[in-house]
Amino acid sequence: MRSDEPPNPCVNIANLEYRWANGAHALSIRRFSIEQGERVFLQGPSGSGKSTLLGVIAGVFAPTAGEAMILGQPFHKMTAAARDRVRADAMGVIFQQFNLVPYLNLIENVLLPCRFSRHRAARVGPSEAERIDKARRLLNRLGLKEEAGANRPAAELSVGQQQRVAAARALIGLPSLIIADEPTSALDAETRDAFIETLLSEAEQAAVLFVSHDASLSKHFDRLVVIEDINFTEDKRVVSLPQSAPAAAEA
Amino acid sequence: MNLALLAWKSAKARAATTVLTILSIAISTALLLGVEKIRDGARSSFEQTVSGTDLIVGARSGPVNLLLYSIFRIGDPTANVSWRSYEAFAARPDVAWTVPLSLGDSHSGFRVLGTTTDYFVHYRYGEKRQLSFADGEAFSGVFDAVLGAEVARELGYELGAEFDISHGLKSADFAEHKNRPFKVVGILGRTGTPVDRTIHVSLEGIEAVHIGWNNGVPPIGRSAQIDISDIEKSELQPNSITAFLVGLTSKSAVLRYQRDVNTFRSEALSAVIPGVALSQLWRVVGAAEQALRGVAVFVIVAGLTGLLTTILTSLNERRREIAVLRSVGAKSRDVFFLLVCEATILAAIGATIGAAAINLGLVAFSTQIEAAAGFPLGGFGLSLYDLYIAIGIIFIGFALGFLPGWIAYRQSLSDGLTVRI
Ligand SMILES: Nc1ncnc2c1ncn2[C@@H]1O[C@H](COP(=O)(O)OP(=O)(O)OP(=O)(O)O)[C@@H](O)[C@H]1O
Ligand SMILES: [Mg+2]
Repeated sequence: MRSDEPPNPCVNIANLEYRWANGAHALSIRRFSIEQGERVFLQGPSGSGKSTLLGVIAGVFAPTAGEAMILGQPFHKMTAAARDRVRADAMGVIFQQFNLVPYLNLIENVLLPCRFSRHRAARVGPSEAERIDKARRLLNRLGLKEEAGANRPAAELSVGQQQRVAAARALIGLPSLIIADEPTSALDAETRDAFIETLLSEAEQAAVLFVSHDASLSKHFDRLVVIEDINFTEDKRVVSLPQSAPAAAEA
Repeated sequence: MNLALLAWKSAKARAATTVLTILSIAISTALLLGVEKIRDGARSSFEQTVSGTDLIVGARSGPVNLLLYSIFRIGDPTANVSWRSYEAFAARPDVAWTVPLSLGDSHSGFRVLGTTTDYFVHYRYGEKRQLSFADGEAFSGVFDAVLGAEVARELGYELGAEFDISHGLKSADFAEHKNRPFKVVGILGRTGTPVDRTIHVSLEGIEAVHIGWNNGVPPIGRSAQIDISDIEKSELQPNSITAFLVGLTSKSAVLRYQRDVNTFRSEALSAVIPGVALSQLWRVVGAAEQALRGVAVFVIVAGLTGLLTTILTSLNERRREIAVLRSVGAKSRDVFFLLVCEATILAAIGATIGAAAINLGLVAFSTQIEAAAGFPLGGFGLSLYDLYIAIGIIFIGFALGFLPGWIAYRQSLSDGLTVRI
């Protein structure tokens, strides 16, 4: 880590390149970092690489080149399984839609990360009963008191309710980083603002990386990042940079 | 384990296809095991049927044919053995006992066997077990009959019941020996051999119903009017029998006795050693067994292909589910094992249900199956073979799971957290 950076950022990306298996160049990021506990709003048009960047930060995609220090771990040097373990231990992920495993009930969905990380499970509670209790309380706070009690399969919930269950799952066990990929795009305006506020207040010390192309939501966050300002893939550089630049960036 | 539980819950959520898949594996397992069990049952039953008999002697024919008609009551003899030849071979000094057998008549579809009371003494089955009487005793009068256990049960006859016998195997046709009532004096205990499905009468009884008959043609004119009461036992010396069983005083005499029978000049006869004839029989039916087994194996292949199809078809709709699992920390290889688990679980449930069903079914319907087969089938029940087959099917299910597992693994790598459907 370079000495001029603040100590232990939550996400610290340097000279990151990401290419898909078919050769498509999705990411070329000189620098991008998120401090601990920082709430970052990532905005950008469709196809600009937002989801791809989240995938790299979450550890499901390995950087093609460059450095990705995530939660203090060198993801660019680690095996896929080790990155998966970091995600299970310390991250929460919310998608745009279809966040829940349909055949599990609400509590089971919320406690899913505990199935893949013993540390996470231990942080939630020492026994299964306590973990269930914790999950139920979290769902209560998110306004799903009755639904949590009724042992209903997740598939029967409304979209807004499903997103709140997903938030509960992302929040369970005090993660250090919460990644949300357009979690509100299926919600109406009112539900959307309420959802973001609840998520941010429940996230406590966790850093939050929130993706949306709706710039009006940025008011809830500490910082707004426009992906086109950090991501310079070949195609865009042809337009915005001198012809000599690509070769240099490639190295 | 966590993944197994998740795999099971996922399968349960797709109840209809899961049930059908399990069913198809269960049916194919049951078929494979069923074929094998009936085959084994038939084999052990055949092997249990005759013991303690050194030789079977009949008119010259192949050993399998002689064995089948004399002991298993399957098929018909080509010719008879004359009473003179029988007496000659029965009188030899190396003979411990002989039991004459006279076949060819029936009652209600059950074969009638004419023999002597020596039959009840010397005929042995299983581990040299003697016949026992569940009720009554051996025949003494000309028209006394001793029923096998299954005959008595199926026809509902008790001691004292009277019946006619008919020529050949079809009852109620023109060749019925009317007005010659036999009476039940004894009922044998169950043996699990063709004895259970046989009606035993004296040789004289068989002779009596054939008085006046000529080459299988019923009596006509005066001789048809003969009354039973006129028949004296002494007149009923048979001219011929179908075959006879021989017990020798020493095992070393068997080959010589057999050679003497086979080279007997005045009549074309064959003597067979039951064990040798049986092993020849197994060689004959071996090909048919292989064919049946082949069919059963193809059915298994079809069942397991169904399993693979079901899981592969479900993959697309499960990409979201898999992305969610990845997002909460599942490794790509967890995704792989999730699908392998599912294939294994479905195969295991199917194989277990199939094995249980065929075993319960065979036990529950054993009497019907035996009646249809015409001979008793040996003890059914769970065997080591069932276990091997079940494990084999589960293992193949496990191995087949690698294909959807690998596809899902690849998919999860390129999907990451975003699912495009
Ligand atoms: N599996 C893949 N293989 C190859 N190319 C891909 C794959 N997934 C995405 N891409 C490409 O990578 C680029 C970035 O995609 P990404 O999903 O990150 O965009 P996004 O900013 O999240 O867009 P959206 O706002 O529509 O979600 C796009 O050009 C897309 O076509
Ligand atoms: Mg996206």
